[in-house]
Amino acid sequence: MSRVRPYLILWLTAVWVALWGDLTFANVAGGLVVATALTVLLPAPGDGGRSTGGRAQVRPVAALHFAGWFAWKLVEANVIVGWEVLTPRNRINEGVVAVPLHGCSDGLTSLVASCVSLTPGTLVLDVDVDPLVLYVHVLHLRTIEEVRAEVQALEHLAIRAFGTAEARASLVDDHTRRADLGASSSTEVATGRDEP
Amino acid sequence: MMIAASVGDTIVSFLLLAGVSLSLLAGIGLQRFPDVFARMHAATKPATLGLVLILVAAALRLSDGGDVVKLLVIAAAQFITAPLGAHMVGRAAHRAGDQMAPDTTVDELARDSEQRSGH
Repeated sequence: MSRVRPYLILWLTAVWVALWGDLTFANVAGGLVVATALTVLLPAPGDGGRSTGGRAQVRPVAALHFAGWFAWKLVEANVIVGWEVLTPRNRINEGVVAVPLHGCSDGLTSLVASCVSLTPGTLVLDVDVDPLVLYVHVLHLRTIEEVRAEVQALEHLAIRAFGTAEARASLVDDHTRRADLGASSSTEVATGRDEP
Repeated sequence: MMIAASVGDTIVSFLLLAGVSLSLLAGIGLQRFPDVFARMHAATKPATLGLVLILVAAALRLSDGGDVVKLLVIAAAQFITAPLGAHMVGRAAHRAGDQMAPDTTVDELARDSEQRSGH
């Protein structure tokens, strides 16, 4: 049940040492004891999570692309929300949009959802699995398609940067299929979920 | 040497002021926005970047590498917890049927929840 996860223990130890501020033998040993105790006594609920097969890996160039895109969006988010706070006239146009996602591992979904919540005027309210749908609250809703396209673009960047080889391959399949469908695909996405 | 120090001071002052302004904006936004969901926008975004700017300013002024690592841990904790907190509050408010602002245009979550419970 409580499978020992060496990477998690190493990571927790690193945080422990960072909080003490000194790299000493006592700090590393203490960190290892605390990290092992934590992972054994309080196993993460993600242990039984879905896996997409294959090992997740980090691709440096794609990861930098993702990080740079996210940093820019974070600044943009602040300018937009800040402007909204300061201007007297209320131009807020709220809405909750369902965004169907391509589907990826639980960890990657969490990453995408967190980034969506930190980028301009969007906030994840709920997540539906199987099929994977994010319900995103939008501060300035212009068109529903625009919101969907933006969140889906973020997911694709995340899969390219951190996804398994299998997830990336399915992404490519998806792209060719969409290219085949051509212009009709966007309207299909917009109306597809209305059927019971 | 003098010039380098004053350039450093200017950068640190700018970062501190920007960070503090963003935190102030977050506070005003909490007060002004019309419903829980819009307020969560104000609470997560400016507060996160504001804190990061203040931490960068502090890191530029600290000489001890260990202290800078501590600041990194604080920034990481903020990036992990802020969106999660906003998500949990927003989800709870939506499930409890909290009133959305009257100018809310679409709510596909309410639509899909109804569909699911209808089965």
